Amino acid sequence: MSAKVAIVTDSIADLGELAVEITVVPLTITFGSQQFTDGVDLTAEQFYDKLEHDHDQPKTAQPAPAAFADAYRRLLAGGAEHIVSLHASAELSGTYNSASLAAQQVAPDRITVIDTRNASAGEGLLVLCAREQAARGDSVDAIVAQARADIPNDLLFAAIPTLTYLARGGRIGPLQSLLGNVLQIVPIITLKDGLVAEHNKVRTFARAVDQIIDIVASRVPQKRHARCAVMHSVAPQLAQKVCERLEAAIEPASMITTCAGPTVGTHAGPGAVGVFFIP
Amino acid sequence: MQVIACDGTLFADFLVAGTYFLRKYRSVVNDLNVFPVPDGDTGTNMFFTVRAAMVEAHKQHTRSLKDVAAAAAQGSLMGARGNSGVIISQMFRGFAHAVRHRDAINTLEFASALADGVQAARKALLKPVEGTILSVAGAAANACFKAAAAEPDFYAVLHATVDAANEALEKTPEQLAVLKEAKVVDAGGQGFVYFMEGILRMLPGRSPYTTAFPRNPVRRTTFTSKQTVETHRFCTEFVINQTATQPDALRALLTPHGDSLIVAGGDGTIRVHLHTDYPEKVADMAREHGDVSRLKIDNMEEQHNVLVVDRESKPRGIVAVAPGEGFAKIFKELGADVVVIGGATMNPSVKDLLVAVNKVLAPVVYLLPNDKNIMLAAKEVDALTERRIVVLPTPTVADGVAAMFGLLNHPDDPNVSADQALADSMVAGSGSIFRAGRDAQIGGVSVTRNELVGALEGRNGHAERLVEGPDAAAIAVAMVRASVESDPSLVTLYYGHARRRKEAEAIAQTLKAQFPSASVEAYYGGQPTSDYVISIER
Repeated sequence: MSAKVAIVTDSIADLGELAVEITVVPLTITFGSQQFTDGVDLTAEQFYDKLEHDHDQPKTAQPAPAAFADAYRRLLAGGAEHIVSLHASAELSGTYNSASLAAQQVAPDRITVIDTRNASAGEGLLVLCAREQAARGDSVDAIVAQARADIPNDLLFAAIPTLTYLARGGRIGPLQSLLGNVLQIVPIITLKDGLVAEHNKVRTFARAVDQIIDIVASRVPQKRHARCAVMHSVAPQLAQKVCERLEAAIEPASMITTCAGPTVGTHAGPGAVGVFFIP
Repeated sequence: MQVIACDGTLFADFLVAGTYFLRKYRSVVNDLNVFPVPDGDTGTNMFFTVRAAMVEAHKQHTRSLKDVAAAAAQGSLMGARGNSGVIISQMFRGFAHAVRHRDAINTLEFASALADGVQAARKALLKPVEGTILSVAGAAANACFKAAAAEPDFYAVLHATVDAANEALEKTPEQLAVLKEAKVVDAGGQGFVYFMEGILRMLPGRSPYTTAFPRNPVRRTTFTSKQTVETHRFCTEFVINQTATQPDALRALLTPHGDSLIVAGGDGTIRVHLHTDYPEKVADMAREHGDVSRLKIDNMEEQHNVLVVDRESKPRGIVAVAPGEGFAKIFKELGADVVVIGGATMNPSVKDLLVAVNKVLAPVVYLLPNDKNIMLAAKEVDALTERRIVVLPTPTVADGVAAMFGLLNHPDDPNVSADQALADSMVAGSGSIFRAGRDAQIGGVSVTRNELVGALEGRNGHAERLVEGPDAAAIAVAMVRASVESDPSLVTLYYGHARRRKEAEAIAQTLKAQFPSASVEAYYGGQPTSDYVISIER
């Protein structure tokens, strides 16, 4: 029996193979004149390889409202009573906007579109949680209420080894002061009010990773309680180490590892690592 | 109520009103300052100049215009600051000369005196440039004259004068390319307009203080990185008293030694303003012609850089002492507003530190001595300035870099304590590698002159220690071993003035091989006194 509540998200959630019983509407990535569909005809490895070696700056485009409308219609036709559609921070992407427009067109009273104020695995965590509730048979109201309650607690701390990509994508904003430095400075990045912000600055990447573990440990009041997602940009070994250290520090209730897709990867570049967690 | 005569009392009120307006808007004028040097102090300079005129004028207990105007002229000449200040003082001088026999004047005489003032300012400049305060004041004087020919009321005449001045101000970007490029109007011209506007605003009610606002200042942009001070870095000003030399002769003498030369005055007192690369030499030349007083030397490069990075509203500033140019760059990029080069054998004086602190436009200034021999001087500064000084206990430059990170992670917070700034410091050891200048014995290690040796600075109860080794790399490794028990997390090597990047990188490679889990970074420190400065972190 298919679930009565269907879950929809976008490919910014970086769920990859974890997206079971979840409908993912992909973004479009353009390198120069080449167009790809996120996660369909462009794998993460291929993407980072192109990012590092291609001259062209990749551009990601939100799915058209029609893409969401198609997905919504298909799900409703397939027996879903209601759809919960969770999307990347509206401050960072137009995806939420597209989805909202589509919901208005298709069936506003049967589709709830949620701005997760997050991106990548932070968004993914909320999507997985909603999927679990839906599978358990929870009501739409319960699923939506839980997501809304979790959103403000869905935190990110990440370290980016080089600011080149952030600068290239024009998203450097508050980190502007770090460019062109003589001394190597590694910022620890966080999400604040749906936007990328800087938490603090340290001297080395290794120290940044240490600090991220410390920060997560200090924000998680109870062991065996937190839901964690370790995000990396083609640095699986590093991510593995971070997982082990988190396991030792907070024994998370659940932990997933995901590779940051093009939307985040364009700005983070390869070698970054971050922890999303809901304490 | 019409005002048809200007006597000494009214003129003194004019000065109060104009000064008040300039004080109020001086930072706007500062922000416009791109010509001749973008050092961002035109408004402040003009304000101090007219204030000096006002103060002297008010010391005259007479209603006679000639005495008050003469006092204002003398006051502004003595108090003149900067190019625009000197120009203003010359206007006062020309004005005073024109009214030297008058107790009160009508509008036409006022206009004529104003024109004489502008003429005098023009004459004081070696190369009058259009698109500056001269053009603005010139246009104002012309309009003033035209209006005064038909109008006895000062308010009406000054209204026409200010209108013309504003119009001329708008044209300055067309006259001077550097203004156009920076998309600003001339700062000195704007200062003149504010001064005149202040006078105009007080006139109807005859209250020297006014709450009226002038038109919105044109302030589209401030500095661009293109505008840098490259030659004639020192803005040099002084007064020569009791001189028999004529201004023209002095001007000819000083012309080859810089630019923006202004030689103004006469009757035994001459004021000189010059941008030069050797201010002391210029002052010495002047001393042959009379008593030199009020010598003021500003490094415009520093003034400029300070103003580029911060604005007056900053809640806190940072002054750091750096032992070399490379370090200076690092401290600047970590957020220091002003860096004083010094350390080891060249300790900056209390005055050097005070001057640096006073350049920072913030009520709270963090001062990083970065050398144990500068700590005491740094602590003296607090008593000498109105700013609150927080001296961070950074006895070495390694501690200084760590403290900068501490401050960086509390951006714009003026309440960070010294302890907080250094709370996250992981510095476990630091020191330098250098050639011994003499035979010495410290802590059981003896070195001979010219031997390469490492000196670990005293820390955590350990006294200063000497570390030996066959070469710089071996000494560096030994210094790390002596500082931390397990592998360090970060070793930073700053190479000195006499060393090359490649040499430093080779040492970094050796360190990396010895301590595989450590990050090792090599940077140019530029210090003249040692080959390498090393910082070892846990």
